[in-house]
Amino acid sequence: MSGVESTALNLTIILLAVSVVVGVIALIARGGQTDAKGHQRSVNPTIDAGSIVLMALAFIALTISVIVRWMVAGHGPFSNMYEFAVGFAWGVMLIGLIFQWKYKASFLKVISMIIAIALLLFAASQPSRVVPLVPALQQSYLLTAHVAAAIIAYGTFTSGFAAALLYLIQNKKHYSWMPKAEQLDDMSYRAVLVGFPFLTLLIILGALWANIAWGRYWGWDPKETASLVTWLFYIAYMHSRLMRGWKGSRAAILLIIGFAAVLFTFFGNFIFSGLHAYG
Amino acid sequence: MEENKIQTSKSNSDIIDRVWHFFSSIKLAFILIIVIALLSLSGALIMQYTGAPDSYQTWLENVAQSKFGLWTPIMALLQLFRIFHSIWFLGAGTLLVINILVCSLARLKSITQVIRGGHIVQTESYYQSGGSGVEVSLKSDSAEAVSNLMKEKLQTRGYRVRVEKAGDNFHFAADKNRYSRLGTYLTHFSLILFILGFLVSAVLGYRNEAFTVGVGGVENVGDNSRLSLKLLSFTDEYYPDGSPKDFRSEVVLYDSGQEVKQATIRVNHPLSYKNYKFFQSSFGPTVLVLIKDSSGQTIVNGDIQMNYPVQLEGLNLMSGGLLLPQSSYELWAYKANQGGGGSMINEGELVIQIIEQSTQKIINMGKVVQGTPTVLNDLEINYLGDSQYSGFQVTRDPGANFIWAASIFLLAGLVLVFYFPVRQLWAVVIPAGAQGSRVLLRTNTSRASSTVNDLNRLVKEIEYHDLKNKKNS
Repeated sequence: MSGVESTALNLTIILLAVSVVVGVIALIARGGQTDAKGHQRSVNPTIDAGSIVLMALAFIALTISVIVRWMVAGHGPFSNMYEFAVGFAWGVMLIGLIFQWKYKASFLKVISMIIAIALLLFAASQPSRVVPLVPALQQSYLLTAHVAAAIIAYGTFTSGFAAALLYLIQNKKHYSWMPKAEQLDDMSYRAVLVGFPFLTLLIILGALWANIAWGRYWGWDPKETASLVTWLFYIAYMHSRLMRGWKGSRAAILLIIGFAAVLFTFFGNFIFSGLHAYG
Repeated sequence: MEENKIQTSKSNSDIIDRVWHFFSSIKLAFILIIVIALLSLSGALIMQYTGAPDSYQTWLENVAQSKFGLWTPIMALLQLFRIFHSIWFLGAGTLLVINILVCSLARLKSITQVIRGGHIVQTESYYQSGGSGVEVSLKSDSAEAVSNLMKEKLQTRGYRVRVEKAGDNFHFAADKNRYSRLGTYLTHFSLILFILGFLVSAVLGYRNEAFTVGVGGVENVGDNSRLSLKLLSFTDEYYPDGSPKDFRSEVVLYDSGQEVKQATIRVNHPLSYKNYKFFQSSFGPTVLVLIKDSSGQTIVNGDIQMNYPVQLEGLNLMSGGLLLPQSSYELWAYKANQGGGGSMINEGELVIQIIEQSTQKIINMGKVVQGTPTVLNDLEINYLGDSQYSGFQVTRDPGANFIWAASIFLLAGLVLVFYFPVRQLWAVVIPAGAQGSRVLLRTNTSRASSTVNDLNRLVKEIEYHDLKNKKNS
């Protein structure tokens, strides 16, 4: 790991941690403030703006870290668990920022950042030296597209998961300063709507690549199978929305299971061997 | 969104109706998806048998038994080691396909209705149901003026607008992206195409995972293809840290004996010819031997793949064997593995065993030195030297094109349904008072969505226009 890369990575973790603290303070310090329309404020806007700026800075720092590594390694951050985890965290932060911008859901952002920190700490625990690509990974277009689709899909599903989690809390407690349960339900649904085509693309690109590298488009390799399981859970979630009485808590629980499947697929490299066992 | 209720006739006692009703339920689809997901999950967690059917029993006894012990027979009975070929998996898949087909047919009517446009004139109570209804009272715009404004605003936003005048009221039905409803068909149809592709690959495809050719040798591809492949050279390269960098085979392909292609096969760069593909998949060392029988006739002139590492009396060896033609004997060769032969087997030396095939008894054994013909069991054995072989996976997969077509349909369908959802708006403009009017509006969904945003924007626009009009007058 080069100096710039590791410095930028550490800086990202620190900025994120500070941003989480500031974000939580913004939630606590909301006081009895009301906004122009007389609604109770969910955050102290000034302090929360600070948290958002810190998060954006963390995102920039991580982007620099990724770019430096890309230049050093000569390929995208796609060849071992360290690089995947950094990519995953980058996606979570990107989508977290977009959700913040679109929905102004401050609590959601805090959860996204905590997940990003966990991923980055995990990355930091992994061997991070630049490894050359083994022959099967030497397919730069497909490799880049395959992993980029994974980053977007997993990033949006993380936001969807955070919204589903908050939904389950909000459905019971009805905190006035948090988004309404209905809004959270809607946010999680939208996250899935955006992410699901990318999950599909991810699997299809994988099949296309497998057909070139391993001579078969599908071989029930454990990681392939796990990605199919994830896909099926999200499919089930979407069909459940067409059934009576399935919006709300049950849908939120399905989403949480779906996200567990995402994590299982992602960390699956440690559980099962198979063809995806890259470092 | 449509509900899962599919209209059936009252004669529910009719068996066909009941079956139809069962298969047209979205609840069934949901249950089947979860079942398939859980089966797949167990397939990812429990090790799966991937070899040939006839060695399954041996695998159960040797591999599965050591891991699952007493549970093995029960797990085997439940087909847990072959989940993706199990009755559970195939059964759930079949039910799902029927489910999809029946649902598609059952929804045909409502989908054509959406595309055609459906009713324009709706009752007032319709605007109160559905959760998205809005009522606006306008003081200074007449019903006709409002109606014209609404039509213009909706059309600039890309809506198809249909207006019908009933009495003094102007009824509106507007929609956008109506063809996205067909996206659901694309996605579901693609799923059936995926399964079809899978079946075509499995039934009509050909796959040889261990097609090997020694350097300098030519082998027939098989599968009645009249193709043969010659291996000119094989190269394996490594990074300084020892991890593999490149495996490549220089080959010549012959069709009916005619050279048709010269190519380099590497990982990620298969050779394609007609319907066949050749993938780099393995490599290994060989020894070249020339064997003559007692009459001086050559019976073997080729290579033995030295694939099997063995530990024998503290020696570290590589071994490989072949069947001696027109005899009941096997010939096995042993060679030092990177100096693992100690002082017993030096470089340039082979230990040869002649084994009776039926009893696996060693008939004769001896050392053969490279360049020195040695007689064993009436056979003259010449060790000519060392070489390499390259292993290829050869496939002919007519199902793959189904898979790519299905992939395109699936993605196109998802993009249509998720990114360009159908937007439907209804409105009625009712004259009220001397010059005012009352407008009722609703959308097809109560969810916060782009359609609801469009509705809210429209309401603001007509209210703004009304206000402006009032100021002017």
